[in-house]
Amino acid sequence: MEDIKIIELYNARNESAINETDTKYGRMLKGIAMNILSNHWDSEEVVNDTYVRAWNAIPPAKPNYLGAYLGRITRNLSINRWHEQRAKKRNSSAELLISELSDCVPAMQTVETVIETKELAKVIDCWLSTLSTDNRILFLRRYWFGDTVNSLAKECGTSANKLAGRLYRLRQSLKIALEKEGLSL
Amino acid sequence: MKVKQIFDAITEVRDEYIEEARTTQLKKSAIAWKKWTMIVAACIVMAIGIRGAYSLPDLLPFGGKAGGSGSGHGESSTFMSYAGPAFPLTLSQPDNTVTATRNIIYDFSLPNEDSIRVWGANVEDRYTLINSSTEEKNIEAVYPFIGSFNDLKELIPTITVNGQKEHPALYAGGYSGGEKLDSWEGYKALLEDGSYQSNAFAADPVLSQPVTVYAFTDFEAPLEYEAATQAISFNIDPDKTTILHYGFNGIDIGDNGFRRYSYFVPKDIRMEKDIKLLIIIGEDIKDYSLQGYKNGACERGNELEGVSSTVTRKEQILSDVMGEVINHFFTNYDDGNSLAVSQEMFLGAVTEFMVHYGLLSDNARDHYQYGVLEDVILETYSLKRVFYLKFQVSVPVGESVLVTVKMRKNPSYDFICSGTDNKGIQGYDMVTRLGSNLHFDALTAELTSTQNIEIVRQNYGFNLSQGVTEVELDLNNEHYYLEIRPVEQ
Repeated sequence: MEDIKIIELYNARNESAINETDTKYGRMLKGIAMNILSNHWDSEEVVNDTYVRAWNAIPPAKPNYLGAYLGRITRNLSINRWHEQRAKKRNSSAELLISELSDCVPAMQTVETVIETKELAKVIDCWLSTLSTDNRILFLRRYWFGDTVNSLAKECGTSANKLAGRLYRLRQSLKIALEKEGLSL
Repeated sequence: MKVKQIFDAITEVRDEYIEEARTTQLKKSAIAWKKWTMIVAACIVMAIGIRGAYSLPDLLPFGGKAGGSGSGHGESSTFMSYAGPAFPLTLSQPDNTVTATRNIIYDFSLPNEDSIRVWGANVEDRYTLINSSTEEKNIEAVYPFIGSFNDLKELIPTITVNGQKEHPALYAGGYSGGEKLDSWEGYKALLEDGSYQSNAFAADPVLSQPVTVYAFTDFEAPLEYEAATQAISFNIDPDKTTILHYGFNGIDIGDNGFRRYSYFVPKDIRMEKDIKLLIIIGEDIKDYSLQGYKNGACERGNELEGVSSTVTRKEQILSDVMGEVINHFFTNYDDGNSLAVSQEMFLGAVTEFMVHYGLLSDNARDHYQYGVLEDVILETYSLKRVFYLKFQVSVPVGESVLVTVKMRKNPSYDFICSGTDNKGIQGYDMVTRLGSNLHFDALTAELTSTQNIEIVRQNYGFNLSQGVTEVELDLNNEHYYLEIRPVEQ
């Protein structure tokens, strides 16, 4: 079903909106949650929480891209849950993603400007626009959707080592971009 | 935590980039490794432009249709994901001299010793067939069950007659045609006039029409362009020409019959497995043009020189082409071992789908109007339908024969946290007469491994606390339901 029709179901308060959402996006959302939480049950709950959030938010929300809208909710819920788990010393895939992204933290000697997360997102947006389409997709598939290096390497038909090198160069590129903006996080 | 801020900020990047990453496949740098995930992605990435409007075809539904949540119909629940009922045995031809008793057993054993809760039940559906005539009866029995080509390996029942394993013939019912299969009444509407079963046993339509096939091979493009694209453009008269395609990544459908089909140029592959076909039904295309582009944006200013391929034109019969495409699909996208039935049977199901709901019908549904064969194949593969197992049984004069059907039955359920009262509850339905021409003298039901469940709702009459796990059922009641909650071990 097209996104616009699913949103119409939400607007009409028709419960099949959730079924259609699950049919179309359930697998993707579960993947996002699993890639952060590494736990089937937690991920399933996050996905279902996502549906509840969407049900409560639409209307009045009118997402232009329903997949991205739902994915963002799932990602935020997963990160929040990951924080709760981290407090309980439970490991997850998010630890690895965070560890990799530490490469992107600008060096301290730059001229510092404290920045809010929303503004930082705009800078990252701008940096993403300078990348080739394939590199942009690769970066987001790894650090937004949380796809594993192995699965991405398989999709690209390359080795995990080569792909990890490509991701490292992308992280270095982001670091330089942030430093050029004179940012301190 | 600084790095955490980056992690959070990435969440907020613009929707367009997320959508792009969600729907676009990464470019390959070597010979393809392909799995279901990739073909699904390929289906998603198919971009269709119609007069400036840009839309993406729907993701394909997997599994059954989901109903409204928890509101209930009759005394039982309406689950969001409905697994469908267990059907009764029937005969291919009615026979008043053969009667039956039925005993259905739901076994709620844990799947393995490490499991903490049940999910699904092992069902044993037993029939004692009695011959009350004065001559031996050789009857053809039919057992219906719900499944899809995708989960057939898991759900196909095994059948024994007096302890001897049968090798029944398998028949696939067609797509329900939009009939909502989210309750037992949905199946009743589908099956009660008998036409669905008759059609399942009838010969499939044959795609005997001649077609013109354009195959693209020997791809070349400048290596520095990772998403180099080749597009073929032409004009057709839509009343005279219908186009199916396989292996393409983009379509533009414009005014006045303009069509443009495009694909990312494969790298390092020449006479290769990654086939790309345009299948022309009706009047052939004329004066097509080929153009390379730097990426998937097939627009002015984005042209790229040095993109080429060999285009071969052949005239074939459509069923032959479809056979090749299906063979390619399963060989390349699922390690060649996923189709649990013969290719001939699956081609029949694909044909039925195309003739009734695809571009070969007068009223193509949804995105099937775009002729994406990957969609048609994947949909045929994953759609829920009723299958039939047909086998011979001989019942001597005045004697009885025991037919035992064993199968795995997945539960109906609501999605967790969906706001319904049915969180964690599993539903199991059974129908007593639907689709059956057998006369039943008695019907009983039984539960085993009940320590793993508690009963939430039912109309059988079990009482676990009092040890009532075997009950006799009313033959006049069409539908029995059992809703359980797993007891965690």
